[in-house]
Amino acid sequence: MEASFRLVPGSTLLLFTDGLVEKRGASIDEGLERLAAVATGSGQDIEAFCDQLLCSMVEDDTADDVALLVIRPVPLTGRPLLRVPAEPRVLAPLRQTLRRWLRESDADPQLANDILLACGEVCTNVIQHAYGANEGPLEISLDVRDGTAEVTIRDQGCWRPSSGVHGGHGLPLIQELMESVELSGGPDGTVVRMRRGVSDGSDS
Amino acid sequence: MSDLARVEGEQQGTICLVRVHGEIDLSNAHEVSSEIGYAMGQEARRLVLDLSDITYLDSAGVALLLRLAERLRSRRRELQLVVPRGSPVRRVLDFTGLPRVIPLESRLEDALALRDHALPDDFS
Repeated sequence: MEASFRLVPGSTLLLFTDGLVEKRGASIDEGLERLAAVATGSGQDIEAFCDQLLCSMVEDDTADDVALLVIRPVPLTGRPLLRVPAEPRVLAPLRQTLRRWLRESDADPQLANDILLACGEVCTNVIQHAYGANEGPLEISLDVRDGTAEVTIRDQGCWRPSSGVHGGHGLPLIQELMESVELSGGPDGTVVRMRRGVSDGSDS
Repeated sequence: MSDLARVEGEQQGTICLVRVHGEIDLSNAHEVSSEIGYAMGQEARRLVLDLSDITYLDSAGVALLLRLAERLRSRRRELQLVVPRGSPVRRVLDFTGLPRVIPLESRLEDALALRDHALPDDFS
């Protein structure tokens, strides 16, 4: 069976095994109704939500085991942070998230493309150069405030802007695309902070 | 081939027309480059690479194009890009100065129309 359903930010998807709703002497339908009632009345915190479900639904002498998986999409407002492994395969999903982020921030599409590209260039540099043959994390955060987007990309390795015929396009491109680019490196890693207006008309 | 990009090739006489759709980044640049190589037949003198349906391309893609142009040049073959004016890809290529190195047309028809000018090359 196949179905699709759009999960809007703030909604909660609950997946569970039958042990959660099955109870000796009661039908599954009764169990499901009870679950719906408990779930609807539960609060915002997702851990507390799980605890409450388990406390209310599962009795001590239950014979079956119970597994719960709770998924809640969060709105990309405020100053969210993504932390991913610095690997090429994360680039496309990162772009997808950034696109959504920028769209939800009402960024002008052309300027959003520029920011997307600049982020792609920095992340590519981190992936290629920050950790050598080792693995390591890549962190990216976006803050849109007063019509300006500030992107911070951080790693725990070290890299320098590359040069050469085929590798030297990244940094000049980033500087062309963004209004300001600050790069600071230290023993704990490298931080790139970039700014760019996101409303049409503030184009540099 | 990853589902990020798709490569389609078609032979038109001495021209090979290759269309790439989707996105090109570090994760698939090598793969796309190999696919373009497979799509280009042995007898083609000129590769027209249509990037009209590329929605994202960064410096990994620019590096791919430069390597491809070099490889073709060493085999006495030409590379011609098709990138519409105003597309996000065009912007990247303009920023990196690529059109000064690799001939670029905005419209596919214009790139294919150059067929006749390339004829003398066939007899070289």
